Amino acid sequence: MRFSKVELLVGIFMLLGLLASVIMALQVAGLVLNKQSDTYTLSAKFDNIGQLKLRAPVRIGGVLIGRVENIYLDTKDYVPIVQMAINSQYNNLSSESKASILTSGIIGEQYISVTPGFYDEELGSTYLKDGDYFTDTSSAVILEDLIAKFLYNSSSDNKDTTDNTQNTTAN
Amino acid sequence: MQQNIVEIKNLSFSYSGNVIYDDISLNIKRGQITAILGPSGTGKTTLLRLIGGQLKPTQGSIIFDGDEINGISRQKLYEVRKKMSMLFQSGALFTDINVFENVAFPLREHTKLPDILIRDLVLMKLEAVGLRAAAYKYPQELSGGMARRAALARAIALDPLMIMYDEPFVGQDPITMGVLVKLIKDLNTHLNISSIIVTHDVAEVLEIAHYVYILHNAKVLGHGTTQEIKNSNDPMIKQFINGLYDGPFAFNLKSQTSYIKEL
Amino acid sequence: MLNFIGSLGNYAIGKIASLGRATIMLYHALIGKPNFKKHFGLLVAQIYFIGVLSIIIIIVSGLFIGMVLGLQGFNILKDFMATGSLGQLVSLAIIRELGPVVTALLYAGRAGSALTAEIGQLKASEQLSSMEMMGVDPLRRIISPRFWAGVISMPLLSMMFCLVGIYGGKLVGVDWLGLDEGVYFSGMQSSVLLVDDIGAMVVKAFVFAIACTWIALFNGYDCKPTSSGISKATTATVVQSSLAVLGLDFVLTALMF
Repeated sequence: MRFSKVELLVGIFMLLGLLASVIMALQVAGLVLNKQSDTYTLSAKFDNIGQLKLRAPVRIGGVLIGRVENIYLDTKDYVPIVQMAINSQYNNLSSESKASILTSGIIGEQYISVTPGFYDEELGSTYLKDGDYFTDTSSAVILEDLIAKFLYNSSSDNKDTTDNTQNTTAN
Repeated sequence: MQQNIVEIKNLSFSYSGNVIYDDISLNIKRGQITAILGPSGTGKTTLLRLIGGQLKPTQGSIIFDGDEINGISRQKLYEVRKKMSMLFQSGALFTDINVFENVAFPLREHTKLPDILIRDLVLMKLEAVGLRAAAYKYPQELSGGMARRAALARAIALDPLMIMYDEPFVGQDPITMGVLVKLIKDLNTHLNISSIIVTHDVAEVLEIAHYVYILHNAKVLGHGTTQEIKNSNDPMIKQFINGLYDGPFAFNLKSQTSYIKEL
Repeated sequence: MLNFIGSLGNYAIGKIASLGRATIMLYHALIGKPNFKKHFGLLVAQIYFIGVLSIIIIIVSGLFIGMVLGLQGFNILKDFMATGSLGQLVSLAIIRELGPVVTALLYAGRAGSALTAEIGQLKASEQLSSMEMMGVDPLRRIISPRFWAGVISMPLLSMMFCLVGIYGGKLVGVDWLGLDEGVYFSGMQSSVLLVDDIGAMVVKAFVFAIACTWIALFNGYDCKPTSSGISKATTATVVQSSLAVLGLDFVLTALMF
């Protein structure tokens, strides 16, 4: 096979470009190949998801177990539903587990923290399977609500504010 | 097969307000050498570009080998151009490739010949212009005369029906000039290539031309066979052919204001 | 006054006409079936000239821009105790904006000006004319392979720029300033999206490639065949390409993000 130096260099150039694309996809965008077989989907309804983004991490005790795959609104009762792709190696989560939206640091990104529940067959708990919902959830803490709560607590007398804060959190 | 390879009828051409040609007609006969003479600046090169379709006439028709050049589709024009060839004043060799590749260029572009055959053809063409020894030199290593001969070899690579020479003798030493004159003559007699030579080197071209047109002031001043032109009594033709200073031709370009006034 | 308006109108008409000529040039260069067998070699040669020879400048610039971003970003984020977001900052800044834009500007300066000068010189020395008279269409023989080479090379160069830039940021942030490597990359991975960010970067690079290459080729093809004409055309290429890239970047950003 006869080839010139130019052809060889151009070939190397094209390969480098492709390689860069692949590394970008894998390392920088964190693309996980064949995720279909690796993960199963769990969902959770929250009252408020705050600033939760797609691909946000799902963690148990800080360990990454999956990522947020889809966020949409349940059109029946207008509650946000978050779908998570959980690595299939963590397949024995109890149905008593709790999903909460937390913030890393004060202005950091939001993620879902799962608190594993106790597994007890006599109490009727099962393992969560593909497509199941977390029954126990806790919404994102909205900074404005917190501030409002704090302000009302300190400025007005106590009777009024308890009602007020309950209204705000319910909203 | 028409007798005329090029027929120009009622051609007018003006370029940014200047009238270059005003309603001229000329015929170039197949298999002959036709000389187009005229003082510098009469747009003789423009005529070749019009025939080659690089410029569009304002009016009139140009027929090359039965095809109307004016108003032809772009694709067809490129087809037609394969049958003609032009030798540029500068030679216009491709400076990035050597002489061999230059001559091989039209063959590679237009034919599917195998490399070995192209090589033989190129060497034949180069031999015809006496440059086989310079095949692997680059254009910038060639002298002006050699560059023009190399360009000629490239021009005949596809065996065209017609070659247009744009001022082939300008700036050449007498020997090179003689060589070029002989080459043009030989190409015409041996390969029967019709030729148009645009020039103001009257003496050389009259040796080989069969037919002569003289252009002046956007018009055809006179035409005829070489003998007729040589024997013409028209004072302007006489002045031009014999290169006299004194005569009806003005030495100066016509100016809007008079010399005295402008001074 | 009337004269001024008249010349302004003339200028505008001239510009519109040259836009028309540019479009016609591109149209003639790109329509018709390409002759792969004959033109593939030309394409490879041009990718070498436009792409391979630009690698050094792209990689060095990418590295330094990434390093500067890493340094600046780290110092600013430190005040907010948010150095963990450095990876995010560097990667998004480079992928969304700096990568394609700086690559395009460098490309216009290095390859674009060279293309203009080359084609201008071919025109001035009547090589394009003589090619035309040989029945070889210079638009397809000269312009077309250069155009495609540009369009192929630029996204690849841009991709390399981004990658090198991100690793340049890592070099400063992680290796010199002591940020954790995992934090750097996980912050990046959770915020950079394959389609929305990297895909958009490729789209930008493609659009810039088309704009820059087109401008460069047209300026060369349309230049006055004189020395000063070529130098003016080369300058015009760099100026117009830079403006086009920055303008298009705004439009594309507004459309895609």
